[in-house]
Amino acid sequence: MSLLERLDRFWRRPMPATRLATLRVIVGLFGAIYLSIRTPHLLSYALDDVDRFRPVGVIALGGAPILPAVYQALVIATVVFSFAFLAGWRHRVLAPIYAALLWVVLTYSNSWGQIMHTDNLFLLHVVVLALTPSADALSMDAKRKGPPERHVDARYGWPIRLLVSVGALAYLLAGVAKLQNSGFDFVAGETLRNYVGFDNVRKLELGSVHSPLGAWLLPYPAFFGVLAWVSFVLELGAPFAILGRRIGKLWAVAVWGFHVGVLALMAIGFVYQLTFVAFAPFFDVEKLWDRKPLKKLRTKLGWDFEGSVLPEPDAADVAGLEEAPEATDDESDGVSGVGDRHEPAEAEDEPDHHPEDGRAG
Amino acid sequence: MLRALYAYGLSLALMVAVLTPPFRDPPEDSFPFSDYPMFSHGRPTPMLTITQVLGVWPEGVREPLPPTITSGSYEVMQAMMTIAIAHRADAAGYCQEIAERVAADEDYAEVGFIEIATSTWDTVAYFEDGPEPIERTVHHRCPVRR
Repeated sequence: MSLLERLDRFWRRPMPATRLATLRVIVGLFGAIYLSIRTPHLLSYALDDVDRFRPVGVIALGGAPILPAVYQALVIATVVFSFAFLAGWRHRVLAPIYAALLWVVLTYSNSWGQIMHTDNLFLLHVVVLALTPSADALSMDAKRKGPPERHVDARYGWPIRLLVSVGALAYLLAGVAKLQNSGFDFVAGETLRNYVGFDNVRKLELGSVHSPLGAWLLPYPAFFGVLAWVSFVLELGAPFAILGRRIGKLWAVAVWGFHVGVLALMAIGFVYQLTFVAFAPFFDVEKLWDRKPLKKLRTKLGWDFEGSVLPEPDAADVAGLEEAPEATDDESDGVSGVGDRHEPAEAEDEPDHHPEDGRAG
Repeated sequence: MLRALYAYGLSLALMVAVLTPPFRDPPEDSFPFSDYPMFSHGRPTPMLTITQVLGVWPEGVREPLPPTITSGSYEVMQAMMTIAIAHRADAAGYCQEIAERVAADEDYAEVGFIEIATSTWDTVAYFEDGPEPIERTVHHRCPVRR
């Protein structure tokens, strides 16, 4: 098998429609709540003050502030479309519109002198989910059209790879920026301790809330030295999270812990990460629907897919494969192991195989 | 075949867009594609200098005013940039704008003056010895008229 074929099998690995759809529901629910709560904040950028306007991204193409009334209408439309995205209604048409609206509104709110980095990943995940068949299950569209022809398919796999990759690559860039801008001084010196002090004083002196814990720990620079190393390793090690599922899950939990630490020490809240929504693509999220309250909910919504959450590894269900794989304990969803048993290339992706297949991770 | 092309086209486009900002000249911090420069520069000393907006109470006590007053936003970083940009563009006009917001807010009924000032602190000493700045330059002062 050539390198390109291996890459193709890795990137377009068949996964269940319900996994991608569950990610749409999770990210969609986050978006609908987050945007609804933040509507007053987003509306506060309906300004026509040219002096303060510092356009970035797509907004820079226009060059001038959007008319306040038009921007307000865009914000309201974004909130409305977020619910259509969550429900998976007319996904092929409305989801890309939602992604475009979200892109414009969030970019506009970052065009007033300070670029926040809290919403980057949220927007990128919405873009991926909007441009892929994430409403083929668990959606109003699926209820209308019926279940997809193939429940487990490559077209539901690569979007999940992409969701994982754009997240991990963003963290890699944060690590690269530290290397570029301060080299190993970031971990060797007192840079992180000084940043925590700097950020907390800045917040207090700009009339905002700070972290008493971060302030209390400032006299202990060694503590911050350890934290600096941990963040450095997590950021520069992010590409490994793309390549292996088990390491990806561990990395996701560790980075979530890193964000909890940032919240505790600097009162900086990356809501998308802290709610764990950002890391959902690393997990077999479709299994959540087997939990009692969600099982009831999906029945109520008519999103029933009895037998499809954990599909039997059926040859007809798996696109592009010549023979049905055997399920293993570790791959009880019958998906993770698809095509693995005869393909050593997949070992890179799935290091946590059942010991019986002789490649125990 | 078309499906594969779409998969690789979208995947490559998005990943290239995510990965390129640090390799532009100069590196680009934009949205949603960024080189993520926050907290990446060396900071060998704990000294901090910022421009802030202070409310002056009758006894001469000065307290920083919150982002909702200084920028109309909830974001503290946005407020910092608004203060920096606005006081350079038109300090008197900006001070007057803040004074009007303070006058309309009952929480600040006793605030008599607004000051736009640049202050310097040792951020470690700040929490040990108290929040008095090492240095403070007042750029503009205006009364709150009710």
